[in-house]
Amino acid sequence: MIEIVAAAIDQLCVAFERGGYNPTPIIDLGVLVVIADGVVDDKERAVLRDVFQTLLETKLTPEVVDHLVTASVQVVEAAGAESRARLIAEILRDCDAVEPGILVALAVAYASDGFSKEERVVIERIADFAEVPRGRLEELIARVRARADGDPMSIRTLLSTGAHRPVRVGKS
Amino acid sequence: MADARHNKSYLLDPRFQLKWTGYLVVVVVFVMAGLGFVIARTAGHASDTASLAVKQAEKAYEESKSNNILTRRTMQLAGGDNPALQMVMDESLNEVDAQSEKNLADVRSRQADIAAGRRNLQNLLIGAGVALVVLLALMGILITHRIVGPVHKMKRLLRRVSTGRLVIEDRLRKGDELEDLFDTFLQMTYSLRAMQIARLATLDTTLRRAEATETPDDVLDGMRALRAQLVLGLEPRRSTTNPPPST
Repeated sequence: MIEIVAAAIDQLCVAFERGGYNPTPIIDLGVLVVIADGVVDDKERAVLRDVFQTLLETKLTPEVVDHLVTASVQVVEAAGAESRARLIAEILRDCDAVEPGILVALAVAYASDGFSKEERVVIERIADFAEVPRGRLEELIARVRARADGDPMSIRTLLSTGAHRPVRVGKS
Repeated sequence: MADARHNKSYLLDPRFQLKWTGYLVVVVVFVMAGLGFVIARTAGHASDTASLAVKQAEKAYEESKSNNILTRRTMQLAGGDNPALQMVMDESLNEVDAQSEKNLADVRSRQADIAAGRRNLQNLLIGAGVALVVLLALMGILITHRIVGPVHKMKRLLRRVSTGRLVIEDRLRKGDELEDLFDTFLQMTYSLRAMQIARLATLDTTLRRAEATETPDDVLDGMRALRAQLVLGLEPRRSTTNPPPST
């Protein structure tokens, strides 16, 4: 799992930077997945905190994470989950980073209490907008499921750490 | 990579571009079909008139021949003892026959010319129509590309702004339409960026003062988190190889 998630986040950040985007769609991606069932539980909040801290490269208090989640949820509610999913998919496509994005979404989904039906609907929607064939999506799901090993906390830890990431050439 | 892919294609938005190009082509095809029908009908009338003229000429020729035969017989019966008069009459009647044949041949030749002209006109109309449709389709794609190109670029840049990225270095291509809209968009990003910079400067000053005093760590962390969010749109993200501070 380490190599999958760490590489996926790393690829996403590089791809977003190359495409001229900020990495904030990863926040929206994570929020879209965790609010799929209508409730953001403690495990999901912790996963998001790890993701946000990694992206913002700073320490975040739970209150700040809650603010970010609340802001993102409000945006999703105002724009509509489908529109938001389409926007994220378009950004991922524009950056040629669709698969890393879906891998991160799957990792967030598996990091709490497994991969729920609602989470699957959200990820399938993003995959459809990004024109990922269903067969390929199932392959990605199987890939993440195989590494999850019923240990969601290990996935959460992986999302938070930068220690296992490959060092990028040409980056200071 | 995405830019390179988009720049190579003239069909950036196939649905939009083909729809409007299709409308243009359909309208022109209808107009051409109407004009073609009028022209074909006029040419058909000319051809029918020529056929009628040939029939009349043939009829006149047959009548002339019959009259000449009748005249010859009359001459044989009436002036059989006057060979000189008969010879003069024969010559005259032969000239009339030759003239009638020549007239008939001329009318047939004109009819053939008119038929050939009609065929040429039809071929020209069909050829010009096909060429015009192809030209219009290509022109339609090129013209809509001048509009769709900037829209496509604006859409991508708006997506960037939606992620908080306020540094926009892209510009429209020379000759692109919607320059005013693009300029307004750029002005918007400049204004937002200026506000963001002012907020960041204010926060930095406050943060420095807070760090110099005995401000609780959680307050400082909150201010730093806010700074990290503000700075996202103004400068490229640092390397992700540095892990975030542990909680």
